Parts: sequence; C-alpha cells; structure tokens
Amino acid sequence: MESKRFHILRHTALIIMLAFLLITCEDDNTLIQNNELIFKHASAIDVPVYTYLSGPDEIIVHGDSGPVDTLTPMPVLRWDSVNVPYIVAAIFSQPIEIEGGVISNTSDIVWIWHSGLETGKDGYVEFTEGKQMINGDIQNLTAPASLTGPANYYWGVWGWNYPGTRILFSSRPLAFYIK
Amino acid sequence: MIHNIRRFPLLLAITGLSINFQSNASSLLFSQRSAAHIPPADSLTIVIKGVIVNNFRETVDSVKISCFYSNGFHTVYSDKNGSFTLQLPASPAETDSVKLTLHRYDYHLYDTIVALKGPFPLILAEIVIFPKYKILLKGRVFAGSIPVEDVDVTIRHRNSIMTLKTLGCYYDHEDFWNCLYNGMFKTDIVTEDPNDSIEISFSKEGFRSQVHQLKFSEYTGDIMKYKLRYADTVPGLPGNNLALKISNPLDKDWFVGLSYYAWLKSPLFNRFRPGLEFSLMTINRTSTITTLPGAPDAEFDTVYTRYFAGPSFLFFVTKPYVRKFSTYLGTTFSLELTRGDFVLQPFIGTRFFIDMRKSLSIDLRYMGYSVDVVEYTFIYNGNALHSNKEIDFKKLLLNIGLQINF
Repeated sequence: MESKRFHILRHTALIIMLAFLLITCEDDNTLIQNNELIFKHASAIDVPVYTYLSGPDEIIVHGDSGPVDTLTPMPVLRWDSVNVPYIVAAIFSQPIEIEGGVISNTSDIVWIWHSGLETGKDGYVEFTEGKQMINGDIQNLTAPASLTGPANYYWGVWGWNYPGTRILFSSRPLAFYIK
Repeated sequence: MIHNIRRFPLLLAITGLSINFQSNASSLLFSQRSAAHIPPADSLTIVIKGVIVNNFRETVDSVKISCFYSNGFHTVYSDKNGSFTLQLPASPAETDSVKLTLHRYDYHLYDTIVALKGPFPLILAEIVIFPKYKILLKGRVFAGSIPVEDVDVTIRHRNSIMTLKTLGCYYDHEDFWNCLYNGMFKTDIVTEDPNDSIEISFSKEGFRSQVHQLKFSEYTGDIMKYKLRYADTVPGLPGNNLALKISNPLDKDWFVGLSYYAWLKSPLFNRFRPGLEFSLMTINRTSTITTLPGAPDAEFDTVYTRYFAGPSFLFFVTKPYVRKFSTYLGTTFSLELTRGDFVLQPFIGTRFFIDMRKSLSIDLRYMGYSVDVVEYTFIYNGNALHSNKEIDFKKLLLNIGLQINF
C-alpha cells in the first residue's frame, strides 16, 4: 500500500518537473501567431481611437476597432508607443502584401516615417514629419505631397528588435479614405 | 666534617654532630641554612630535619624521602613548605651512616649517605634538587597546505636519537576515515637542562631534506608546523597524463581541451607521448548592421562554437620528471566536427608540478580554421536578410591547464 502511494507520488513529481521544464523552455521564438497583424509573428501595436485638428475641424480616427475613416489629405498617425529603437510607419496606395515575412509591395508606399528621421516621434507623427516615397525610393529632399483622392489608402506601423534583425512589433493593416 | 659534592660546597648547620655527605647524584646540592634553635634530642633518637628546594630556590612539596639505616628504614614526605623531619632510633654513642633517597616523579632521583655520630639532633640546611623537564613534542609536516604522511622524522636530543614517521589517515573505531592526525608526529622528551637543543630532521622521497633546531625551553606546547619543499624532480612519475586546458580568462574567444597521453613504456620513446584530444573553441564575433537612414548602426555579438577531435602527439623537450618548467612540443591532428575540415593545432607548453602527481601547464596553441558566420542585412520592409559567409579564423591562444599524471 505504501509502495503504491510512493509510486503515485513519484509519478506526480515527475509530471510536475516535466511541465516545469516545458514552461521554462519557452522563449521569444515561440510567439503566438496573430494573423490580424501585418507581421504575424510579432506582438501587436495597438492603434487607439484618436482625433486630430485639421484647421477648425476635428477629425476622428477609429483606429483598430472602427470603420474606414474619411481623413484629410495630410492625416496624423497615432499608435501606442512600444519604445523600440527602430520603427517605421508607412501609408500605402494599395493593400499591404506580405511574402516570406517581408512587405512585397513597397512600390505602393506613398509616404513613410521612421525613427531615423529627426522629426516626429514613436506614437505620434504628423504627415509633414514623414517623407514621400516614389517607386520605393524615399524622397528625402522634398516635403511630402498631400494625398490625393478620391482613393482608399492603407497604413501600418512595425518595429524591430535592437540589432534590427527581427520585427518584434506590428500593427494591424489599417485603411482610410480621402475624398 | 663535610664533604663537598660536585658543584659547590655544601654547608650544614649542625649542632653537635659530625656528618659526612657522600652523594651519588651529581645534580644534588646542599646549601647552607641558618641554624634554628633545636631542642635537646632524646638520647635514643636522632632527629634529621631539612628543607627541599629546587635550583630555582622554590620549595618542593610531596617529595618522598626514604631513609635507610642499619636497623630498618623510614619514609616521610616533605610538607607544603618543602620541609621534613625524620626521627631515627639510634644509639647516641654509635656512629652510623644513613642513606637518604628522594623521589618525586618530575625530579631526579636523589641518593646520598649521611654519616652521623653523636646524640644530637641533625639539621640539614637545604637539599637542592634539580627538576626534570618533560615535553610532548608535537609537529605536523605539510607540503604546501596538504599534510604529508610517512615522512621520516629524526629527533636528536643529547645522545638519544628517535626516529618516527608522520601519521596518515586511518579508519577509526567508528569506521570513519579519519585524517585528524594526518602528517603529525609526537614524542616525549625529558631533559635536565631547559637550554638543551633539539634537532628535528625530515626526509622523504621527492622532498628536500630539512633540519630544524629549537631550544627545549622554546617549545610552547603547540603543534609545530613544518613545510617540506619539493625536490627538483618528481620521483616515480607515471608517464600517462590526463590534461584539461582552457584559454585564459582575459581572452574573449574561449578554448577548452581535454587530452589523454600515454607512455609507451620504452626507454627509446621516454619523451614521446601519443594521445587523443577533444576540444571546443568558441569565437565571439561582433557584427555591425546599418539600419534606418539617420538611425545609429546596431552592433551585436554572436558566438560560434566548434568541436574538434583527433590524435595528438607530445614530445618533451626537457626531462618529463623535472618539477619546474618541463617543456613540451606537440600537435593535434583534429577533425572539425561541424564542417568535417582537417585542422592542425600545433602547440608548445611548459608545466610545473604542484604535488607528486598534478601539474599546472601553460601552452601556446595555434588555431586556424574556417567558420560559416551569419551576415545580416537590414531592410525597412521586414525581417533582416541573412546569409552565411565563410571566414578564416586564425589565432594564437594562451591556454592554462591542469595535468594529472597516473
């Protein structure tokens, strides 16, 4: 009787130890895949509901949860800051496409902001603080041209780990409309 | 009438008696004491009174005084003041001789013969006796900080020579392995003169013989510690050795090697050792990535570990059993286990023994092999691109190691 109880205890201890090992063996390579994000193996960058002023008008942006907003040609982009050294926000003329962990339609990027620029900051960027992109090339010397409408545009934000080898944070693909 | 004994004249205050002292103990002395008033003795009794002191002028109590005379013997003890009184039945007219014997365990045996005549009491002034000094000489012999057993210890004192061996560990009566007395020796030494010198000499194979001297009076009763110094050679050194080598801690690249070398047991190949060696080498490589324009470049470290195994050969330039700076040359013909490349690892080193079987080594080793390293290229639209690049790693390593000879 005692021996049987001892065996049960031993097996229980073994199971607990294995469970502990399995839990502790998990590292950041086993991030849960989130298919809603632009980069599915990253952590989410949330875009909350926010407003910005365009002249006398207050424009509301519904962020992750809302419908497609109609924005001004020089919109303001906001997101919850994630404090990483390398981060990019970009506006696309076409829906964002990903192939092999890389955005494939870079030629559709019409505007870009990144943490290497002296203006803007992680979490809040005005349109004039970014740069225009034409056919995948950043136009560093000119101010960004206003977005033209009527058209749908798409935007997103993503950030890297310190050495810049892997994307750690990504927003969902977001859309807005320009009249 | 008083006869002198060997050291200085002996004077006695005597009332009405003629006394002869004849001592057969050279260290026994009498000295003068002022005469006290002695009451008239019984005509049939001889009274002998005295005080026993040692050569430090201290009275000695509990001395057993045995008095032998023609009609028998009588025994008394000295009191706390060192004084004693003997009453002997004797004919006042008869000349007799009395033998006094003084016993005390830590003093010399004292014998003397007192010749007396007459009916008067006899007062001995002082009987000076010399104490014996006994010490339990204890010592422990070390090599470095490790006690050494079976060391031949020779202790010379005056004409006596005592030979001992230091103790080792043993199983005690509770069946525990007891090393409490490891490397210790002890012996009793008795002397009359505290200024005597004692000579202690140590000898053991593989160590330099040593001689120490001390005065008897200098010994405090503590366990004396002696450190043996190793001889210049290691006697009976076995030829096989197992060695662990690591790169010095200041180097950012790490090497760890484990080797075994065998002795061929042939006088022709006494300096030659074939063997096997397993090693690993880690390279710490810092890469720089150019990231976003205007953002600072990123640096990161990557560690590349490679494993090697293969035959190794050692040749001693100096005699292998030299304790200090036994120098050797060698090379390992190793296989790099990741890529399967052949890698030659020549080395030169020297070793010095820390005891009879273990030695520390320092060697310089050349490592040269190819490593596939990962190169990253930052892109703004996704994870960094990576590619493998072959680099040639060449380095002269300074390794430290421990060898066990068996």
